[in-house]
Amino acid sequence: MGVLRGSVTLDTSALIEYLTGTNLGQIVKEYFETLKPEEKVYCSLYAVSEIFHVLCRLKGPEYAADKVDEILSSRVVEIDNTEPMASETGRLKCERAISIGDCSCIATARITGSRAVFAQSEKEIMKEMKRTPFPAEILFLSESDRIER
Amino acid sequence: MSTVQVDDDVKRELFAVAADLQSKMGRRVSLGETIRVLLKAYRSKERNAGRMLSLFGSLDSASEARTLLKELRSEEEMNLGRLARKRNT
Repeated sequence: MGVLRGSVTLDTSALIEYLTGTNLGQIVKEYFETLKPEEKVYCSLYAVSEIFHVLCRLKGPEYAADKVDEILSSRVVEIDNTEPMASETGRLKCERAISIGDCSCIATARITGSRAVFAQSEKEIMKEMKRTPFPAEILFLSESDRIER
Repeated sequence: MSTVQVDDDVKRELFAVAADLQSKMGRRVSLGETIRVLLKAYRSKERNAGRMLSLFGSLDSASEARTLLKELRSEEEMNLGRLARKRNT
């Protein structure tokens, strides 16, 4: 199993794998366990909304609020809620045929100088990557063997 | 009680923070309490990896969670598509 290193921006899909304790989530767990002070973990403000939504639909609003609060108060994940991130997300969405959630992750990665981490290789992202490279490096947990050690 | 030695400029800054806290709290604030406030602010910026790690596997329904995220994102795409078509007509 590959190991994540360096600073990363986690997409909602990667955080969901972590919260549900899957094999893909295990890669994120190992990364958190060995996180160096200079390595930063980001996620977009939009991802926080998506995580809240998924948790709320599964377990209700109080559970979602508690879990999101635990994630944020751990300060392991830094939330990018800047105007440049919002604008870059909009710009990407305008140019690319991918979801606004995907765009917000890639925009955050570009602005923070980190790598965007998704759970699975989504066909829409792959198609767009082939057309023109994204402004940030994209990693898929499902292809962790290819992630640099 | 013990003695802590600090440089003059640090002492001045500490008194300034204490004065600021006093005016905000509306009561006398000791230097010890001022240092406690500063320490708390410093600690609150530290990562709590244990808290984050305790969340691993805390949710049991992986496939349901994946489906919900997929549905949310495709619903948004459909709504955006609908809006775009509406705008074009």
